[in-house]
Amino acid sequence: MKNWKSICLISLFLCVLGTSTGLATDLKEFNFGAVLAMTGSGSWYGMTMEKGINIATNEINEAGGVGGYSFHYFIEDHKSGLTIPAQNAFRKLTSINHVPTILSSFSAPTLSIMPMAKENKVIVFNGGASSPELINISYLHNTRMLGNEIVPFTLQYLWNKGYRTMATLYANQTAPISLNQAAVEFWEKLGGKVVSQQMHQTGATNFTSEASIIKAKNPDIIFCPSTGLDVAYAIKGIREMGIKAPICGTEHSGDVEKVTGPASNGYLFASEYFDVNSTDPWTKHFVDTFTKQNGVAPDFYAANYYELVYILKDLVSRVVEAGGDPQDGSQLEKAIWSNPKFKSIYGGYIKFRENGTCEKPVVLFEIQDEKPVVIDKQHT
Amino acid sequence: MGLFLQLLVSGFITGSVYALLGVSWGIIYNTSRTFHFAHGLVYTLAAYIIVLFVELSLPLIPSILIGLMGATVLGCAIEYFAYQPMREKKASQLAIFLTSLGIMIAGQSLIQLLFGPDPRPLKSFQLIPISIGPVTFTNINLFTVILIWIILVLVFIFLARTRSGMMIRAVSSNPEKATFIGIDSKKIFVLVFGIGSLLVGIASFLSVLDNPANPNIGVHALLMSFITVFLGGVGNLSGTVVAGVMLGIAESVMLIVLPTEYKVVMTFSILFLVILIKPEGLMGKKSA
Repeated sequence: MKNWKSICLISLFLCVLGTSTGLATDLKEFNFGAVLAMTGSGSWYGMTMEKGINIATNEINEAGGVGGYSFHYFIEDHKSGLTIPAQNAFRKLTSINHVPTILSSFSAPTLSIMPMAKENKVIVFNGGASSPELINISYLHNTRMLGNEIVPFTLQYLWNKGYRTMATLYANQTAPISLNQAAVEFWEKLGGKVVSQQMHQTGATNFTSEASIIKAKNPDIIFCPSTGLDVAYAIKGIREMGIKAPICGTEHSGDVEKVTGPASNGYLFASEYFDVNSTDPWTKHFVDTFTKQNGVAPDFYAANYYELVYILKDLVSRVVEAGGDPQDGSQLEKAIWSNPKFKSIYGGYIKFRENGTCEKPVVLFEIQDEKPVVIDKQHT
Repeated sequence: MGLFLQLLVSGFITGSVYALLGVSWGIIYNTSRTFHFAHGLVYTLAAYIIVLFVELSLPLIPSILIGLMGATVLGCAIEYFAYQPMREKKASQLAIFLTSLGIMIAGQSLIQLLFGPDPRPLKSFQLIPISIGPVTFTNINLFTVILIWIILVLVFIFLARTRSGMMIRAVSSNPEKATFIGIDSKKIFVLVFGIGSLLVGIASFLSVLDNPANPNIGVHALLMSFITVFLGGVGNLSGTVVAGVMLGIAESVMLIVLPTEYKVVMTFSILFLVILIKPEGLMGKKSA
């Protein structure tokens, strides 16, 4: 009797095992990686980007996957812009997780992995970094508007207001350095004067010295293309010195006001315009889902990475329909150019250009009552 | 001239903070010769305690007092439960240093895990810039400088005029002889860890009035603490104070001629030059 009981239990167990294994083999896994700022002064970016990726991945899988594939992602941390962790992350994602595509962020980490990406035919998508150096790199596609497009828009606005002298303050990082260069060149091209340029250490919190020098130079405007909390501490330091000149930059993370408080009011920055009040059904769905899960409306970073996962979905679908292997990065790359237009979470379509950039609506924000408010629009 | 004065005043404000940090670490090191790396963790924890209690709607003063108490208790606990047992087992200085480093790293990581990496501001003060001629500073800067100098004077009076202060100086000068005359070094060590931790807790609360707390704030505080001590001369707290102020002013005023990105390079260059020319520190005494 005991033997019969054991045999029945074992048989039942084997049936369940067989069934579950069978179900799992119905869908193959499409793995992709994400190298984000999960720790350090830029961790706000990484967390919001990951939320966008997570929502999109869950939606795709709940809808049954695509082309026989369920989506699965691996997150790695470049510690807010460090290149060695980014490169280590790339190696782990490609050699252990075997991903054919990576969603990257921050300019220095992205640039640092591109030689390996090209060699291994791994497509990299950037939805967060803005350095003008990210143009014309094989296997790199940017869905974030880059500095060479957003910086002139901001500075032209201020030039039109009658400001003529500029001081710059930027972090010792790839993107801020190249954005500073772009800003200085553009401002001087307009006929303006750059009265001082100061570089600061990434992660600095005390800007008293830098602000003292800016105060002595008395510029009409201050351009600060630093990222994450660096720009927050810079704004705070400048305002504490009693300097009232408008401050403009290229970044505004959601935790800036935790450092600045009302000192950030008046800060200007241009970026792609993700309208949380859009009536586009897909946008509205994403905004509602994100808000329900996180208690706040999504920013454009979360939107970009949500959109990127859906772009991957389209690419996988195209490759599978063509009878190819979506785990092969070169086939995914080829699939982009079969039609470089993809449905955009911003409404309408996003179109990739051959130089690695894309077309998206850009707006100028001003911080008012500690919140970004659109004050000017431009389509590039 | 206006820029020079502004940088001088800004440097003095920063230097005052460095002086307090240096004295907080120096009183521990001078007495116990323990490279107390976990001092940075005490600084971080004090900031978080204050911010968290204010977030829980406790008034500011009680929150500060709890934060200072927390810092003091943690510092004493590290000495009593970690370093003292190791000394009794004749552990090497390197082993004690590694333990201290481990406590610092583990403690910071734990704070990050529990509270996240996001900055936690103390929303109690409005910063008001105050301008006197070409010089501008804030109300918090003014309060910081006044409080720091009052505390430094009190510390020196304590060390010079009280029985406990004299015992601390005796142990600092010669621990063996101090034992012979009946001073319990172990109790003195706990006392200096308590005082040092209280002082670093005060430095932390002054910092958090102006800047948000985050898990990594202790690192810079620790760095400036021991740089100031070695710059001023080990065993000489007056030297530490002078070194702190000089370092703050030098870092700031040098920016008239050097680009601002050289600030960190300057700090270590000054330390390197002083140690090269005068290894015992600015006001330290040469050992026999």
